[in-house]
Amino acid sequence: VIRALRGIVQLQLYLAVCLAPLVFALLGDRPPGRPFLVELSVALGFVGLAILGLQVVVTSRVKDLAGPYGMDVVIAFHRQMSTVGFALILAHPTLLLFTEIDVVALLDVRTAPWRARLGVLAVVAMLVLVVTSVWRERLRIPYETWKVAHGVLAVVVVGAGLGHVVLVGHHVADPWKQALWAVMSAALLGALGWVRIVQPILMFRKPWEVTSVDADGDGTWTLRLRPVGHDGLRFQPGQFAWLIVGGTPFATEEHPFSFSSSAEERPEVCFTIKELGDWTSEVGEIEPGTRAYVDGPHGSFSPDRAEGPGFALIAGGVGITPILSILRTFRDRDEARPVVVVYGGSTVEELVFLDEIRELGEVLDLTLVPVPEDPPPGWEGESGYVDADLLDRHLPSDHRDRWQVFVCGPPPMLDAVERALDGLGVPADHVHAERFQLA
Amino acid sequence: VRHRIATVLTVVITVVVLAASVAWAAFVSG
Repeated sequence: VIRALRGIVQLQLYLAVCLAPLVFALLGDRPPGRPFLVELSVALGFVGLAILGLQVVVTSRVKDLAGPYGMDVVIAFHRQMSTVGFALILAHPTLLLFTEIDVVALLDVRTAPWRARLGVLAVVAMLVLVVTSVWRERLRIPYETWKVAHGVLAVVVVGAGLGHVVLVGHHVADPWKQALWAVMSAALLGALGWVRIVQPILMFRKPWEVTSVDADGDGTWTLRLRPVGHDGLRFQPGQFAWLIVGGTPFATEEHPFSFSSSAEERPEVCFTIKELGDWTSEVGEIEPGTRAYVDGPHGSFSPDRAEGPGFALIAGGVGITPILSILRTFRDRDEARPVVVVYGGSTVEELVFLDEIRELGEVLDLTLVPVPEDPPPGWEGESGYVDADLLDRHLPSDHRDRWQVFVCGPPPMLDAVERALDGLGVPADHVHAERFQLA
Repeated sequence: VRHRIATVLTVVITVVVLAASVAWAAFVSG
């Protein structure tokens, strides 16, 4: 419920900023009205510009939004809204073709006034931005170059668009209307500066170093990092961070990973990473001594934020990593409350860290339920999928509604387990889900 | 499936801003 409410508030805020230019124009003395099509064209241009400005805010919050919504959802939204914003911006000059305004003359940048030139510049920069983003791989643009160019182009689009609005000046003649526009623009550009300049500088000043890279089996590796010249960071077990290995925070691609070490073990931290065919397939080749940067902690997937008489931790595959951190932290804290771990994977070999979790059962009140889909001959435990019947057998029958349940795994598993828990009477606000961080 | 969340948001926002733009233009031009 809280998640839904927060989503609705975020949607309303987003709409408020989209429509702010229209509201600003209605305030105070209004200029004489022009034909409907002209004003509609202006409205679409205003809203399109606001949406493009908001794109910056969506990406600047991406590290926090990735927790509740999932990284892929935030990226999909960013891409879809850029199409909508671009369409609205293009609709602005297109609609004017059907009015008495001589748009063709305004598009000739050799003779056109500066207000029109800036409009053309915004559209052209937007076109370059969309083409280089959608076809980045086909155009063979390296990620680092693209990332810097994307930020610069975004500033050019929004800056030229604003210049166009101010020079046309029809709805922004009053100085205080210009002030409202200036404040909103400064806030949006400030968000970009924060993400692309201030945050990287802060990260750059707190470097880390890879001290070891250990194979955990089944293509899974644990990176151990130590802070260089600073105290490191504090995290809650289950949280994640954005990791850069090699390269600098200014241009290198960052990837989100859960901490897998105990939150009580400072200042070193561990990330456990599975080879999944992308960047992660080279994890095993990282040399000790490599410089790294850690941006975190992020996320709210942690028993430290959810009180209950017991915890059920449900993992699928490499979704075990935040749960390992939770279990190791519980060990270091002498946690006395009961814990049930349900750990699913395609084979027993894929269930890495099974032995360590079994050993943790000697110091914790822990019930471990490994669930291979495809069990080896002679396997006597559970097997198949983690479904409602299986959960019903292993979750406690009394106080079940008060337990806190943490689920981390691939999306189909999350959906299935969430539905099953709902049917078993576990309240939705006691179910905490974290998607695989694949980005 | 989860991409649907993004699509629903995009569609809702697009419909709202288009409706508001038409209403605004009608009001301002009238």
